[in-house]
Amino acid sequence: MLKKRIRLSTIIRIILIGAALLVPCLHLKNYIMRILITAGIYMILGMSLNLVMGIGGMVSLGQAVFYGIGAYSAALITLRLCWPLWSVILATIVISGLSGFLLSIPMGRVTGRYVAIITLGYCEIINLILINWQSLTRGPAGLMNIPRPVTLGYQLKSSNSYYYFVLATVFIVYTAIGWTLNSKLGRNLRAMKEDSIAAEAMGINIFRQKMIVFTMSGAVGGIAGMLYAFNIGYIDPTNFTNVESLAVVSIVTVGGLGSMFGTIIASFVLTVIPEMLRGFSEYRQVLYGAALVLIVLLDHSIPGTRFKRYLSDQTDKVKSKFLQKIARMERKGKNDSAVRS
Amino acid sequence: MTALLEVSHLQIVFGGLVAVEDLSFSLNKGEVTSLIGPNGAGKTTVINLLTGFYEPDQGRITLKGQDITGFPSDQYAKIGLARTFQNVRLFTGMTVQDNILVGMQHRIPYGAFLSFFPNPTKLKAEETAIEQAQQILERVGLSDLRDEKAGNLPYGLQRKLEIGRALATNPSVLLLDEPAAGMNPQETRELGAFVRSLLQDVDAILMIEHDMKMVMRISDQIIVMNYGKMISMGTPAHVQNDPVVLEAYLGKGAKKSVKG
Repeated sequence: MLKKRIRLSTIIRIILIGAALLVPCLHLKNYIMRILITAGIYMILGMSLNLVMGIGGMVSLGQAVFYGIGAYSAALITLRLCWPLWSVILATIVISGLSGFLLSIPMGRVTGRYVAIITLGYCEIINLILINWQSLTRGPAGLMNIPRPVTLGYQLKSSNSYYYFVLATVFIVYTAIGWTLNSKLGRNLRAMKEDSIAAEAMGINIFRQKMIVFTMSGAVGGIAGMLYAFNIGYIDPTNFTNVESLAVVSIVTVGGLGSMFGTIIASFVLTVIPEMLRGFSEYRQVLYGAALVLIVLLDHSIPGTRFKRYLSDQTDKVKSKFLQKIARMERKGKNDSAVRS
Repeated sequence: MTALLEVSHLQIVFGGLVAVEDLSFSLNKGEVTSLIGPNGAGKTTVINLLTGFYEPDQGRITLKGQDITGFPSDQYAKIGLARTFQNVRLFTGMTVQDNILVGMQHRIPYGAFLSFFPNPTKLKAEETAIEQAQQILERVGLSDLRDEKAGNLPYGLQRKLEIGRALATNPSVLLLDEPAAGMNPQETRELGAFVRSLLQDVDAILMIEHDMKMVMRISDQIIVMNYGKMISMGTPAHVQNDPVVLEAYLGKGAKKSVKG
């Protein structure tokens, strides 16, 4: 039974990947491709937050920091140093990873809502630096004319080629996170989220786990920022405020904490809905907000995963009852035999 | 007989309350030591002190001659002290096997960096770890349930899993905090035999327990605490007949009733 379920989810994944690969063949409008690219970028950003929130169990309200740092470092390195793409990617990962590490340092003994407050403050600080360090970032004027990346001697100018670039990145990030979570590190992180006291008693250094998860989250968030900078070609500090952080929090919450696949679906849905509502002009944000509330009320997560969770909840309940019954019967049997002897 | 774990003049004060006062004892190799006493006597505080959850105000703890006083609490699993909790603290959302693997984590020989991508070191280490976890699960009788969520297990099995998780850290001293709490007499009897048999896996056991029958049956040494102080120590027979112990449990004038 378990085998079947695994196979079904693999099939769904393969179908989705296939569909994603075939999208450019439909010759859609540039505008739609751009929406899909944005969705892809949010998928990566969402996964980076889900690492901290869903796996590490800490609410971060400052994910825009990594997004911004990734975008600015990629843009600055490309514009000022003219490094090739692969070095830019590597440098972006290192720089934004470092910024994540920096954020984890005050987290030593901090838990719960205080983590959220620290991340909120960190986001504010970095935003002010981006605005005021004019010699480097050009302040509120922002950085312009960031060229599309060149890879294998080919510039990703068209929407379709950039779409594939983003798609590949989403796939790589998703797979790498999957590997990580299915290892000792993943288990330790989940243990920390479930019960940090018991985890400590098992020899897990909580502070170290926090450092690792924030560094990872920073690196992944930075990749999303880099993709954003290359996509739009223009960045300024207003793109990376707490508003952005909250948008990502809603993506992760809707997709389901700890589920990377849910995050991917949720980023897609939550990027497409506002675009579909464009016709309603000023009521757009109201409708978007209402849609968010509805989704969360209906379920705390999107319909597809809702059904799955309902199923697994039910089987869990039945199983646990069954196990208890067996234990009771065993006990009874033993008691009977004890009485007889 | 050599002392494995030695505690000397341990003391901790919370505000105005002296939770543990001038406590000295030692755990010997191959022995089950029980820590008993009325509620609030400071028994769990002792285990919290021994595993670094509290730092003692005074006193020294040595394990195999090494001073371990004031180590950070995540170091204890590595040096060979493992504990269970009074109210079971499993990773309820994780599978039974994963709970054991978390217990084994400091013995799985690859670091955070090698976790990020598949590589021979990681795959091999995971494979052996899962094999070892399987052995531990067989030891505690849960091998059929390894893919079950820990939170779905009935209470008695959760207790067993917690002991298994502690065993997974490969400890030399096992600290059990009320393993029989919430169990019926039949289960308690089985658990007693099981705890005794754990001496094959670990060098010494320190157990807090309220069930006197079990304590008297399986302990080699009993420490009795009251109001943070040790009031008696010795073999079950000695402790049972100690008038100070009778007084602490039943009040003045009581006679010989702590017997199991």
